[in-house]
Amino acid sequence: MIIGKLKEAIICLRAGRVTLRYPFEPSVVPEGFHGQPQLDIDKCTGCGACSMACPARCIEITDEADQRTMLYCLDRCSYCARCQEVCPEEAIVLSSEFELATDSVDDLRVTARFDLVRCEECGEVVGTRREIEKLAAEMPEKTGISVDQISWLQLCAECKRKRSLETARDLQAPEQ
Amino acid sequence: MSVVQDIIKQMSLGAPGLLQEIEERAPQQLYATVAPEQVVATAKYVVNQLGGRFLITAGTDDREPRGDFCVSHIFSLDEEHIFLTLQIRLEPQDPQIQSITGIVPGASWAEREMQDLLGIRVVGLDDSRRLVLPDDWPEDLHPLRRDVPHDIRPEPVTGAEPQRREPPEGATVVAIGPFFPVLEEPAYFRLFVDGETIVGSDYRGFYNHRGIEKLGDSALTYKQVPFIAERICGICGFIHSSCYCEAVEIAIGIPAPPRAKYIRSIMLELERIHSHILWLGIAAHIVGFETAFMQSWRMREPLMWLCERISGNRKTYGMNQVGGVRRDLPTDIHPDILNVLDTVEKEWSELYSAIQDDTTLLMRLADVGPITPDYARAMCVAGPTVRGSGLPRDARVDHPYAAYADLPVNVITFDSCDVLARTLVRIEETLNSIKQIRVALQDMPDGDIMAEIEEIPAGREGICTVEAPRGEAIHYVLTGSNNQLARWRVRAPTYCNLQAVPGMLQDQNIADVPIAIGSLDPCFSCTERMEVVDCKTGSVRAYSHEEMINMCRLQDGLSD
Amino acid sequence: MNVLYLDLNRCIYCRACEVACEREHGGVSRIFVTLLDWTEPVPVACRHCEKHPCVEACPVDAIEVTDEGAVIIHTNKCISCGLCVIACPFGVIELDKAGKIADKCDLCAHRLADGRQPACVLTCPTRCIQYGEFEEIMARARAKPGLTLVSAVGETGTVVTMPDRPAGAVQKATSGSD
Repeated sequence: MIIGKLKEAIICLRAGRVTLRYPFEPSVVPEGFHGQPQLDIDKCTGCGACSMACPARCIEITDEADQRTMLYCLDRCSYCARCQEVCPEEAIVLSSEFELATDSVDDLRVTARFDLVRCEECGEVVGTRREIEKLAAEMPEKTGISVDQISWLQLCAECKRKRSLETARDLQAPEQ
Repeated sequence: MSVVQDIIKQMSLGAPGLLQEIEERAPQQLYATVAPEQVVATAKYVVNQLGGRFLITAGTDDREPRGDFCVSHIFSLDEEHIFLTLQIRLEPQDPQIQSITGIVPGASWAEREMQDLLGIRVVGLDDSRRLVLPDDWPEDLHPLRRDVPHDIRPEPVTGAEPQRREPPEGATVVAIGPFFPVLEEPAYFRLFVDGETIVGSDYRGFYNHRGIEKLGDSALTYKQVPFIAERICGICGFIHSSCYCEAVEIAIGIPAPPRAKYIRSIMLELERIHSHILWLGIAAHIVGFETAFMQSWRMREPLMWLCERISGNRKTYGMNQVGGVRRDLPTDIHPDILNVLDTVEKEWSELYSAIQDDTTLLMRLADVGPITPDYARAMCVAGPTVRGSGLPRDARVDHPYAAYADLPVNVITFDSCDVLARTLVRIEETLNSIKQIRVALQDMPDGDIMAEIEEIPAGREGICTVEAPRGEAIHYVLTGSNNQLARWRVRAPTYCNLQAVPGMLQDQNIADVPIAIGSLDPCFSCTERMEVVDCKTGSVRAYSHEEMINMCRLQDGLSD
Repeated sequence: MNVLYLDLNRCIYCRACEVACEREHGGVSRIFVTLLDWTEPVPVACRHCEKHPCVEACPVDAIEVTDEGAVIIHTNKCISCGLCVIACPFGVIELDKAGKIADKCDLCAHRLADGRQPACVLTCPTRCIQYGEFEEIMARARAKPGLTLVSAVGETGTVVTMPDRPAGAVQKATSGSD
């Protein structure tokens, strides 16, 4: 009994003080730490891949009139870094920021707005202007299809189906 | 002849007429189709003749596209390292099945849960009260049926009464719960006492049932599930994400690369170490031994920092994905891991030695909360709880996953069947885990950490068990189309261990209840208040409960 | 090389192909029976183009051209950014919001692997959707009197035969649709 208590006393005495003087001294996070996600709005094209990947559904997308709004609800973030993993533009990265306590939840909400392109036939959403400009810039070189041929980038899926069939039909007609 | 073929032959010859079909759908995973009227006879054959150990039942709503319900009773043939699943297909109208609790008493919760969530009526249950659904949930609404949306919020039924069991004559009811103060968990034990002796008990739980299985097979994709799986448990989350990922990998027949498997094993063992250390602290706290509580939690902290360095997160590492792991374990971090392990091993051994000489503590633990080997087998308990009853059951050996086939797993058993045995199992396991990590770091192969998976085909089944600190976790997956699971069944180890509580408390002293229940190591959580510290002045202000509620109510703009 | 053949004159707008496709692909059809000028039904599925803008648009190489010439989306690699949907000239890729992946015709790869025909081919009551050897299909298409053959983008893709009609009717139809 007494030996056990002595051993315990030695363990306690040797341990000494182990707590940090945080918050008066900074707590340094390790490299590769998953802190608050940070969005580089200049790189982001608003494609929404992060929104689809996020397991906690933190990223809400609303398309209204000519604008896409992406709302990052970082108060719900689970710091899994899936957004960073899927982002094709490397526009979102997890920072080392962890001191997120606030008395206003708005401090943890980030909004990004993008111009939308709507289908020139029916008005359905096609994508953001940035996405379409990116595709228009890359497509000719990558596929060998000339710039004036890629008018379909301004159409929604359903109108593309109709337009492509009509074009094909019209091409046939003079040969009859 | 392989063991699998031997079992197939045995079952075909030894149980004529019981099986309609038997096939090996994944390596070491047998699925036998059984007619509904033969289920009890077949379960009896599996348990008595083949030595099958019941794991869990998974009910599946297969009405679309197959037009029926399917019940899968999953058994483990431990010696042969085989999972044997009895599948029974039931009519879509008023599906019902005979209970197998006469053969396997531990199947009771699984069958009651299936009755609640899928509306499959189980005939012959001793106790057919609600298990999972709240008392005011509508009678004919079964949330795991595929035509019920995952976010349904039905009108509560008015006037519904909890179905409580009455105490035996002359006994008094002592209620612990619905919020169990020692465990800080929502659980409601009603103890029937005669003087200070417990003569019976009743349990009601599932107050915090989150519907994660439903979420996994209706709202989430394959790649989102691991992160939700990790949140099934706040302490051993990596267990569940590993178990899910390995089950899907088994189902599609694409294993994770060897390096990823080693990394999984290392993380799993780190988790076991910090979980066991945490448990010892809590157990000490329960019996009023605050020194061990504080010192063990101090020892645990460097492990948490280590995990943060490895994964980027202190807890819920987010490292698992179907096909492998998302983060490598570079060589430059290995010395740090070994350093932390050396310190933990030294300090843990010292604490172990001190505890062994502490007769007061030993008296509080010895002969308390007995679980006999027979009772442990009948209730299908798992983990340190079963190993403390002298049975060498450990998923790392029974059904090796991750890299455990290559690691020195020592199945530690003690046969005094009491709380002390469970404590010693955990203490020694911690030391064994340290050894395993050292070997894993040394032998870790080079190569990829993520397998190339192009598509996850529909209709594949996979079962995986992972030895969590609390016992074996079981995940059964049935893949579906459109990038989503068709069924995901999770059994956490506490599920079966809690079923052994009534027997464990029988004839015990009421003062021993907290540590007896605590010895099963159910999960803990704690965040009770918030302090704001001004860095410049050093002044501290605590927000009151009302202030915090008001802040949430005023500002929460999200709908779900 | 095998190709999918859509004989557009024969479509009777029963949409059985859509239903078959839905059942085969977990409730989402990847073939679209499109009505031209409100009267003329035409089944449209992925043409497995030779120049495949979708493959080029994909930032994670999740879309692959198989040795058989089929263009396949590997759903486990897809990040659902939707760029292929915009890039597709024929509007046959759609974003599956529930499964969070881009979805399109894969020529029923899993059925072909078992030696079975694609579901739409098997279901079509007028046999306007067919699947077979490129040369054989071309011969069949050429043999149809009065029909002109259109190969979608490259030579290897789906073969589409367009309805036979006089030039004037086309003019009228085009202006009528404006």
